[in-house]
Amino acid sequence: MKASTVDALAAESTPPAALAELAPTTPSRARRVFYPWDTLLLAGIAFWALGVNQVNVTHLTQYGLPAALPIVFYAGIAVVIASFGWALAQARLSPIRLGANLGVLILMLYGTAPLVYAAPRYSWLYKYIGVVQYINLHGHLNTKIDVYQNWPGFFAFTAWFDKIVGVQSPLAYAKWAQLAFELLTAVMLHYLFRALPLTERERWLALFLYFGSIWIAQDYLSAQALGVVLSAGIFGLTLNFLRRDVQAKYVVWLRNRLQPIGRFVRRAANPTDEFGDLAPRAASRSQEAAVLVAIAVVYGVLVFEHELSPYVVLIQLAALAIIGEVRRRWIAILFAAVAIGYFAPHFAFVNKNFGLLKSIGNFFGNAAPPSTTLGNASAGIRFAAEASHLLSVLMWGLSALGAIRRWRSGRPTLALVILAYSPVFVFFAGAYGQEALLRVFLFSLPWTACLAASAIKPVPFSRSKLGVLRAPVVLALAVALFFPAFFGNDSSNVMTPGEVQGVLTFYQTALPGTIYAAADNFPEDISGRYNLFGEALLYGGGGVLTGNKKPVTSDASQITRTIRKTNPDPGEPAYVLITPAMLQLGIADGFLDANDLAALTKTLNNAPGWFRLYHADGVTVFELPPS
Amino acid sequence: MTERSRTTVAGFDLIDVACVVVAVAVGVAVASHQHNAFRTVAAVAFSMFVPGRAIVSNWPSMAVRPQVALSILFSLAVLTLLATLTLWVGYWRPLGLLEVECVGFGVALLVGLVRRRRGRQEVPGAVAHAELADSSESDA
Repeated sequence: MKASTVDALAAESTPPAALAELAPTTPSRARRVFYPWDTLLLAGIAFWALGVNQVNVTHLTQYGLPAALPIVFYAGIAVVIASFGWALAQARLSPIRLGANLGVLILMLYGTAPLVYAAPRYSWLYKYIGVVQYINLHGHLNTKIDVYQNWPGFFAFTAWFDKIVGVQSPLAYAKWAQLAFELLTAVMLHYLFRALPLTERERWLALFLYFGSIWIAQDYLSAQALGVVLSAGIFGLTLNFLRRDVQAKYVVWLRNRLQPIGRFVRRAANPTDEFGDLAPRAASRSQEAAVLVAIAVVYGVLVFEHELSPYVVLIQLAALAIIGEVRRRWIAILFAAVAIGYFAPHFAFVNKNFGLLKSIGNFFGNAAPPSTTLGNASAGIRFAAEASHLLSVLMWGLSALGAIRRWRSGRPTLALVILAYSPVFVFFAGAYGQEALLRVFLFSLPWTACLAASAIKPVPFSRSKLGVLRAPVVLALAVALFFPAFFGNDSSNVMTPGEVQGVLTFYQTALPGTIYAAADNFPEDISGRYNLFGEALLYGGGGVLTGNKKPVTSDASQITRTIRKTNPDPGEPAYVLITPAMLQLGIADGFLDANDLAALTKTLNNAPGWFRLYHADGVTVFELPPS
Repeated sequence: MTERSRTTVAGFDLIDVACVVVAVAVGVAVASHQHNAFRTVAAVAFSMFVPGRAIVSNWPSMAVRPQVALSILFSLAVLTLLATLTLWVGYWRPLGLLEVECVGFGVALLVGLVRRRRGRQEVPGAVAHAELADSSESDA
């Protein structure tokens, strides 16, 4: 069949999306199945596996996992980055080879922790398990308990998934969630990036940069992780099917007005060796209607799945609509109506618990990074924080350079810049538990990575022998910073299986009461009975026994008096909970000494009125019955 | 219709049939209270792909090639929506919901399969696109 006939048929039933996907971008020639440089990838996997096998994580130092990993592990990472650089420098790109390199890099970065640790990292992950277990236990929600039960999409899906897989709790697979969510995100970003005006080389580099620099760990078993996948999918659908050829009239007018300035700095566009397939679009009204319904359904799910993601997506989509980058611009208004419509009935709860009204408009206060609370933190914690700052600056700096380079070359730039930087509007709305900056980085990173890839301008060997080094060198730099940023706090982020089991047993068997945790770092709310327990801290910020100079650990009468006084429900018992991860956090953040919790244990062992409820695997629980 | 496009369309059919098999497998594994690796693999494959593939398969312009990303996206969205709805309406029966989903999405996949087979004679869009790949390559 001739191509013209095919085109006519295609226009009737299929958007150019499919055409672009089917039409090969490069002439087809017989390809070899295996090249000598493919052994690089295999060697990298072998080195990495050897490194994972050798690592000993029993006693992590203040520098976390990176300090415990053997040199052969890093050699494996370096070899895979070299393999990627080689694959990206070929005249004809091989999606299979680049895809394999990407998959292996994701496995190395996000599959290492579940392989070397017996239990999931992060104390806050266990709260999500508790909500899932609550649903499994009760079969309904209670929106008065916490914010999670007001945004139940992720928890309902996970509870359903547990029953289908046949496990008692998400604990069975939670530690693998980071790898799984990153792989899902990779599939979604690969689809999304095909709709962006990038070369094939830039698309692949952007993917590698994203996964080499997403240090904020949004990918654990959480609503945010699923929210990222859904958000990427929404943009994938929107940009693949609803892109416009022509920008809004006022944007064109503004561009024309700015042309005299542009002439000073702009140079003629360099011909690129490969333009990727661009922006497929819906072909018919019915096709477009189907796409709109699909986007609306996925966005609707996102609205009740996560508290923040739908609003960031809304900001970005609205910005695209304003510059006329997408057709059916009213979709932004529809999304706003859906998001606000869902939020309105929950506003009172959110405002009461998170002080939303107080933080609205406090741009700089909301933008303050979590590191402003580092205080007396250890050198390891500070090093991890510095690495994360440097990595963020590297990516944002490269994205700014990429934006300038694209603009000077006359390439489409405005939409990418808007998508990359519009998430900062989140700072006007709230601090999101002092995590607003992290979320802004998260939602800007896909687009930041695209702009950064344009800054690096990956080229084939035939174009520049030295130029091919740019991409792997920048990726290596990003990954080098990623390790301390992502794994640097593991001395306190890691929980032992005994610790997890001990706390779970406590939640499942203890009478309702208030838990006084020695520090805010334990498998909190891990059970479906989590709503029966109040929580307070003994030490650290907001701790009732923090003391002026030194934490109170040896004065039994003061401890008992303080706990009785602060117990919100005197008719119920108070529990003091001590775990190994609490001590690790206290040491890392500098509010506890190595012997402080041992001293507290000794004091409560002999204190009148207290008895030891649980003691195993380093977990100790003391109970103070109601007076 | 070239040999290549026949192979391509047959590949889509194979994916749909495989998804039906997965839907049946997970339904049977759950109904027979199995607790093994087979159930785990089938359940993961079902939750991540099958419902989305059932939607994509019935979306003619999408069905011209295996849209992995969209299948995953729609699967996650639809399953989250259904699970949450049953929770909100006070009918939390995850296993019952699964049986309904297995039947519903299995039927949808079969409908998509039949429609595509009929479409090869009546609306040759899918075939045309499969052939486009062939013609582009042979022109080159």
